[in-house]
This record gives sequence, structure tokens and C-alpha cells, in this order.
Amino acid sequence: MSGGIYEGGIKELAKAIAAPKSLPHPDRQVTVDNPFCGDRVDLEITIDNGRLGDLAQDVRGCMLCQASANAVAKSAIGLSVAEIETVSASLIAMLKGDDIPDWPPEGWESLALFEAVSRHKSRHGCVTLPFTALLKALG
Amino acid sequence: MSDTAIWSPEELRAQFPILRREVNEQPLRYLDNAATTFSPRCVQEAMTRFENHFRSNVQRGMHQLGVEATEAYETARSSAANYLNACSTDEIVFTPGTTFAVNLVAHCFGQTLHSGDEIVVSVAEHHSNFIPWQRLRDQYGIEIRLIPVLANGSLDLDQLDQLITERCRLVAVSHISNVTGSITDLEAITRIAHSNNALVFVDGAQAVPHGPVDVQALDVDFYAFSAHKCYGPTGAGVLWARREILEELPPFLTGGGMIERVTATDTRYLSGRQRFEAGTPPVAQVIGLGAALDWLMALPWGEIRPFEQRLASRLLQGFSRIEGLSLLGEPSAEDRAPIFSFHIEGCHSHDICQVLDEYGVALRGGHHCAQPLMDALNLVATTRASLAVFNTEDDIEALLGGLQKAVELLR
Repeated sequence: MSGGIYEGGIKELAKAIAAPKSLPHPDRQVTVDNPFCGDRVDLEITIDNGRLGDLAQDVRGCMLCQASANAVAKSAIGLSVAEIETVSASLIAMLKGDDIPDWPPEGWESLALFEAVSRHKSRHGCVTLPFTALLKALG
Repeated sequence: MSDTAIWSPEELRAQFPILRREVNEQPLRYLDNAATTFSPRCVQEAMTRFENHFRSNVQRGMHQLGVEATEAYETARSSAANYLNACSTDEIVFTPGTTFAVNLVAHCFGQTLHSGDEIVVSVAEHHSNFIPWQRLRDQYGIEIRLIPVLANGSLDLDQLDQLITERCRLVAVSHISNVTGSITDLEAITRIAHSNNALVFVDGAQAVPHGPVDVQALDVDFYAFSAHKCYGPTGAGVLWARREILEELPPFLTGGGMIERVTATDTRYLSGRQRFEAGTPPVAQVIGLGAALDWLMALPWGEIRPFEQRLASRLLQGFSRIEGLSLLGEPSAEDRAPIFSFHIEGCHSHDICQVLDEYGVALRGGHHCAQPLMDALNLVATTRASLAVFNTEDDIEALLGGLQKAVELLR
């Protein structure tokens, strides 16, 4: 049951804390809320030559949001804004049910765990919230 | 049905066509009634009758259909007055719902406020009964004073006489919390508010579905509710206010249906409640609301209330066996409405709702449009199960069984 969402490693990804909650000298800080449910991502980043240098986050959200945030923390450091935008766009397209070539993106294999969320539209925002926060911080 | 009629949950359920459907190949177990509940067939038929037999505008048609539509619309006003034990139908204003009613009062009453005036609101209010008062603070420089909550989310009225002072112009509280199911001690609030010449606005959205209300006995000044939470359609609701208050308030929306005379340079408004229903109202929805209130009024509450309490007791007993479950509101079924918000350690409410949906159990997860309350309790979200008159033991057992499985899966 549960449509497979909670099977196949989502729980483990959600519990594997991949980032500290704060940085000593962040370049940017953002807070992003999901108004639908109240989930919140507090994010701090450093930027190094136009790329994501480091990242810290405090996530108050569901298991999907926690898991997505950990996927971001594991795979986004060192990427440019354009590269992160591409990954985010692929994730959104996958959730919408589009056929995505080269899915999951290289270095982001854990995003395959979210494929089961595709048919649960009300949960898409849980998965994309950490990406929204990161792109807002980088923007 | 009357109070002495023989009543059975099965007969009642048979009146709700939607209860025959399945979700995820499971019987539907609908426990999100505090958000929106279902309509019995008689409500649907009342609206269909309007659409098929006398659909037309109200109050101004000279033809037969207009007369019949107006008659049905005004009959709904009588039903609302009857359900609330209002003094007169002149105290009933139809609105699109509770949110609209709060905004109407805030907008109109707000024009009488001055810097230094105070409005007292509880921290447990639904955003609908919170944000409009915050806006008045920003517009008119008034102060908002907050009634705090206890650790279980129920209102803490211990300091009420210090919160409500001679500077207070209005107290806005809910009759029953949409989160905790706690029943507000309106008697204590109205006594102190009225002794300070302050008015009392009550959000009755969660109380009206659980039996007739007596606004005269409650001694409040405004009372609002929505149709869709009390077995009626979406898009309609009621604002009740004392007649003399409605006579004093300026209009909210202006337009057709609320004027006495318009000239090229000036407008004279109708008096009382008539000035608050500008434009073509949601006629079918109001007729459906009237049918819902008549249906509710005729239910045998003397039998339903003990049945509801047995379900609530069984639910509370089951909750006590789930490790890490914390319930908001009063711990006993007798002291609360059948709205149950809870937090389970290590399980987020959205994940719980997702798992339960697979078992056909519809719950609500999140902040329930009560973020100030969530902040006060240091919670992000809770899971909520809310009962209606059609819920049965099977629904409760499905919920409890599903929760055990969710905890096993999510922890």
C-alpha cells in the first residue's frame, strides 16, 4: 500500500541528514514556506565563483520534503545555478509525468526514488520545496 | 425525523449518495468533515428543483418564476433564523461563507474604530477569523490582544478580565475550534465583553454542524457559519447579527439589491440586513443551505449525540494505544466536539494522511489554517479526524487500524 511512495529508500534518504542546520558565514539565507501545508525550509548557502559552495538547512516538513532536501544537500554542492535549474526542471517534468531523457540526472540518482510521487499531485510541492528554496537563494 | 423517531446510522447513511463510492478499492471512510462535509439527497434535490423549475433572480422578478425563487430564498432565511433561534429573519444576512462574513464585519465595524481601540482575538482562531482583525490593526492603528492557549490548545481564559478592558471594542472567537475541537466558554467571554461595552463576534463554522444553536441564549452579537460544513453546498453561509447592530453598520459591497434610491449624485441604502446582500446572491446555494438546516433541525439529536460520543470515546481509547500520539484538546469525549487533531512522534501528518488515503480513510493534515496556534504549541502540523452524523464504528476502526499501519511504515 501507500502507492510505493514510502518504499524503495525514501525513508532512509529522509533520515540520512546530509547537511548541517547552519553555516558559520553564509552568503545568503532564505526561508521558503509551502502555504498549502506549512512545511518550511530555512536555507543558508555560500557561493564560490558562481557555484554553490556550501549549504545548510533546517527542514520542518514531511518525509518527502526531508528526503528531497537531503538529495539536494548530497548532490548540489559545486553546481552552477544553470545546472541546478536543469535538475529542478527535470524533476518537475518527471513529477508531471513527462518522458524525460537521461532520467535521473547524472549525480542525482536518488531522485529516482520520487517517481512514485508522480501520481500524487498533492505531494509534488513537498518534493520541490527544497529546490525552490535553493534556487531562490542562488537567484 | 424528530427527536422521538427511531433512528439508525444506516438509514442516515443511505441519504448520502457519495458514501457509496470507493477510494483505492476500499470503502470511503470520510473523516474530513470539519473541512467540508457531504450533502444529503434532500439538499441536492432542493437545489435541482430550483434549477429545473424556477431558476430566476430573486427580489426583483415580476414573473411567476421570480416569485417562486424569492419565496424559496426567503424560506431559507426563515430556516436559518429558526436554526439559530434568531429573533427575526431581519437578523439573517446570506453570505458566500464564514470568511466573507468575518471580512464583512471587520470592514464595516472597522469604520467605527479609532486609534487606541482594542480587539481581542484568540490565538487559536482560523486564519479567517484572525487576518481580517490584523488588517484593521494596520488600517486604523488599533491594538490586537490575544487570548492565549493552554498546552492542549484549549483557550486559557484565566486572564480574560485583564485582556478585555474598557478599550476593547470587539472580541472575536470561534464557538468550537477547528483544530482542537474545544468548545469555547462563550458565557465567560460575553459577560466580560459586555460589561466593557464590547461586542462579541463568534465564528460558528464548526458548531453549527453539531446541532441547533441558540444565539439569544449565547448572548453574542455576531454569529457566522458556512453551508458546506453543515451538509449544504459550497458558496453560501450566514451572518447573524443583532438587528440594531445591522441597522447601525455601513454597507460592505454596493450595487443592485441593496438600495432604496439612486440618483446621479447620491444613493440611499436599504436598512438593516437588506443593505448587506448586494448583487445577485447564490440563490441555489442558499436554497440548499435552507434545506440542510431544515434537515439538521429535524435530526433526533437526543439519539445522535450519545452515538457520536460513543464513537469519540472509542477513538480516544484507540489513540491512547498508539505510541507517541499526542492529542490536542480536551481528553474526554463529553467535553469536546468530535474534531480530533493529533501529532504522532516521528510521523509527519502529510505522510500519515497519504498512507491512510490508501485505506480509503480521508483525513486532513497540515496547519488547518491556524498557524498562530501551531506556533503557540510549537507544532508544524497535525493530523485531524473530524466526524459527521453519518460516521460509524467501521470508520473509527478503519482509522485506528490505518494509523497503526502508518506508524509501522513511517517510523
